[in-house]
Amino acid sequence: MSAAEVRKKWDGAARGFDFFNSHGPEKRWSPHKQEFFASMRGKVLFLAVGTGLDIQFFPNHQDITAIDISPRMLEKARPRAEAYDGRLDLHEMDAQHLDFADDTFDQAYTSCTFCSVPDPVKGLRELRRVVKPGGDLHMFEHTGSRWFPFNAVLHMMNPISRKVGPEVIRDTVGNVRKAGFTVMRVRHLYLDVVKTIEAS
Amino acid sequence: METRPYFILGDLISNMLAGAAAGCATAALITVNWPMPVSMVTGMALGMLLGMPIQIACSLFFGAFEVMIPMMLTSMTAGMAVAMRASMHETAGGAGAVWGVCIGVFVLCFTYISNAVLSGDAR
Repeated sequence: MSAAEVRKKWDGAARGFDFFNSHGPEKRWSPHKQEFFASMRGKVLFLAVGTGLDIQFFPNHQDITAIDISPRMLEKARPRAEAYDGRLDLHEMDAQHLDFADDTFDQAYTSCTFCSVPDPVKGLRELRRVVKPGGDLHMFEHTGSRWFPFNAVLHMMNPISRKVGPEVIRDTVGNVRKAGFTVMRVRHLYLDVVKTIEAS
Repeated sequence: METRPYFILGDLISNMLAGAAAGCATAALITVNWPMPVSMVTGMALGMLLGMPIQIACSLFFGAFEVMIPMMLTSMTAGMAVAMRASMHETAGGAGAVWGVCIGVFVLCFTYISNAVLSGDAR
């Protein structure tokens, strides 16, 4: 899928995104997200910000650069970014082609991002390029499952899910390793599907 | 492990609803003259199809994967099990719904136990 197709898909999803995600999913994940984002420090890159639902969980007074491929999503994120108590810049950008110099950020954060980047290893290599040596990557992602019957269910959901939104069967932990990161910790939050990944 | 009553109750209601819908519809469609393998595949597919809109509606209130995975399992299992029963004995829609509700509760318990085993630091 090309960047233009991805942009079109997420521009299309922007209208109903908050309706589908702001109540149930975000409230369910809120304790985990609060804990996940609490370790933000230094100059932080956040991708992909979407409509900015995650901004409520960011600790105050951080220096955050957030990107998204969809201008419609960014339009919705803007009021939330303006209300953030700290520095939060929004940019329209493709995760596979980051327009930042090497070693720019101390940390990179993702939240349900690498289920949607067409070439996840390429995107993760870009993240590795822009994060300083010794910097770290924090991911809140959903992935495929290794266990029956959950893997079977996700495989059945995937053909529909990928048309309207994310893929649900990706091996994101494996992709992080393929991109050259060292995985420090993987913590399963729901089954082995929803998880946080820490890498450096 | 989920401890908030709102979400535990939501999971329970969602799965009971998905099971009841799949069981009731399957029992209404499948009759004793259906070959069992055909009825089971049909019941599973019907359960899956019927479950999708219910999953989407319930996920608005109770979460994403935490709702969709067990509900999908419930819909398919309830459709398949009620179809198997309906191909052997006359099964009314109401009886199919009761079977579906029981299967929904069982699947939810299975998912909660699996979650307790799988969640935490990856080994």
